[in-house]
Amino acid sequence: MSEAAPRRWGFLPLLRWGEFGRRWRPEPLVAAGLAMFLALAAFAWLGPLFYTASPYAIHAHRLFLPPSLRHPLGTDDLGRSFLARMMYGGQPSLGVAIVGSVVAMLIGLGYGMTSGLSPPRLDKALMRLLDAILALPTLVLMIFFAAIVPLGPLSLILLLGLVSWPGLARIVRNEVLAYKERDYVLAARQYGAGTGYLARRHLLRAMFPIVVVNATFTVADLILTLAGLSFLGLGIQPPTPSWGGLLGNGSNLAITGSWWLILFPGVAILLAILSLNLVGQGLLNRLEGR
Amino acid sequence: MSGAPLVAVEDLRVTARRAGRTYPIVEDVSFKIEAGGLLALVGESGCGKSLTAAALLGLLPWGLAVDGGQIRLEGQNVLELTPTQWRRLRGRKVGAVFQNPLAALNPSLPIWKQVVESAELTFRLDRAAARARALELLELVGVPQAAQRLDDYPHQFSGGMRQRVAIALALACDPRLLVADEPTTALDLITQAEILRLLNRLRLERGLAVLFITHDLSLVAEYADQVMVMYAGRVVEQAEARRFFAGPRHPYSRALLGAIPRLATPEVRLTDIEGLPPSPFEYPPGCRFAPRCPRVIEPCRRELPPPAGDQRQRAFCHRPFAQEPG
Repeated sequence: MSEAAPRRWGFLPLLRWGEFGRRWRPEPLVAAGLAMFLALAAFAWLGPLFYTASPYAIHAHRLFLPPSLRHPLGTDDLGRSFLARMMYGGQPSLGVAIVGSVVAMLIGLGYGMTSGLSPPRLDKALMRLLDAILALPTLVLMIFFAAIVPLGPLSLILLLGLVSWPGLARIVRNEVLAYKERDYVLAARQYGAGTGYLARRHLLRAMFPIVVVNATFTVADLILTLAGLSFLGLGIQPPTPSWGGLLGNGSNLAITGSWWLILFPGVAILLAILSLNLVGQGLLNRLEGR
Repeated sequence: MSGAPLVAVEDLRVTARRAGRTYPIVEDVSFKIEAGGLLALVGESGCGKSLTAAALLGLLPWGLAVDGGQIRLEGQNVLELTPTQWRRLRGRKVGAVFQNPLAALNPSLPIWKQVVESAELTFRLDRAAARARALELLELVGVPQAAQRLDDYPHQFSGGMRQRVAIALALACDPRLLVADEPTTALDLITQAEILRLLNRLRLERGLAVLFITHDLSLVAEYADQVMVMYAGRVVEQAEARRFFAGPRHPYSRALLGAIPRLATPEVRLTDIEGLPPSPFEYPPGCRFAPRCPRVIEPCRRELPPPAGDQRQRAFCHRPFAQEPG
């Protein structure tokens, strides 16, 4: 196997989009968004290595301290270091959303490809079923599930994944319909390739760009949904911090004038969503602009 | 003619099901191709030529089915096989070259993988054998410096080279029949000629039977040994190429030939055919060309025309042109 390594990854259309293969230039939006998002992720996961205060240690003698050199983001209503809580709070907010979006992506991809490759009648039935699922409002569904399932990162990942796949499934199905009439797919069918083989070999990789773009937007969406749930007290349960939970807590304490308890989690959520939308939009531009 | 011909299609009938009724889209298509033979299937858009090919390739779209007749490959009627048996056999018997060489290759796979994909599936080749086979095939179809180009992607090839790669792909399992559905339409004139010459060489060297589908008669005049003209799902004329080009007997064939510009004889008016071909859901009774035919007579509108002529040239017409010596 004398193949150079890049060949093995040549299918990654992100790095090799047709003519862009040999001279990949980063899309400015993608680069900016990615840098922002990585900075946030580094803040959440690497930050605690440098700023070692505990997010749980309660200090009754320093409640509601505004940001200062000693407490960079101030302290909260129990005197806990808000910087530490912001760092640890980023982990579930980002982590659950990312993994949840992967779950949604896998389900959506599977459902969409199955539907697209099914005989027309079954395909139609599957799509109508999808319409029915799409008609259910996500947040209401989440509140319903949250009421009957014990809440933890794992159950949240599954819940978020389970409610956010239908959009992707529909996109994938439509892409499959377009791609399965391509001559190269017909050629493969002509010499006897079965449906499963076509799906694995030819269609899956054709789905890659659209799925990546969609997954990016889904992560942003899930961060917001998760923040909304935490805000309502249905997400990550205290005392474990999460950005949505911190924001909810802060807004309850708004009357104390502790602006930092609202501003920082709000900005963190905003930046996370903004960065992902930049990445998604940049990829979409590249995808459609070709 | 010795023994069973390589490909024999008899009374092929393709129907569409619509609102509980079946409509014949292609009817009574019969032809034979010997090993090394090249049959040109000619007709307007929508006359059923591509569907005839799709039936041979097992690629009929949903809702259409072969409803009668036989497709014999080396004596075996493939319509009697189960779909799975036919699917397994297909790659080894029939190869296909499509119209658009850009769409015929997967943009995200290096070409060598695509060229031998079918062979890998059929013969379970390992990687080294597959690469060797890919190289062999690419050299066969005349891709220059094939060894250096194995790992290239389709976008790195010109249109003509892509079509050569697509032909290599079709030949990977050593099929006996190659169905080429307008393989040169998307190419410029010079490349068209090169691809035609390549197909011609392959059939002569390897005894490949070629079904060449086109709407351009001038393209095949040089290489075809048989010509079959279709109109509205039926064969209207079927002849040895030499006879056909000496003088087609069906008014529709005449009209097709009359629409080709000629360099050698200037000042000849190009003729066109008034109107459009009928939709398969409203074929007229009698001869389907009757509403547009300049030579129409009374029986044309009532009865299907009988074959006129002999084995070497046969027109399905009530009032064919006289046979030219040829």
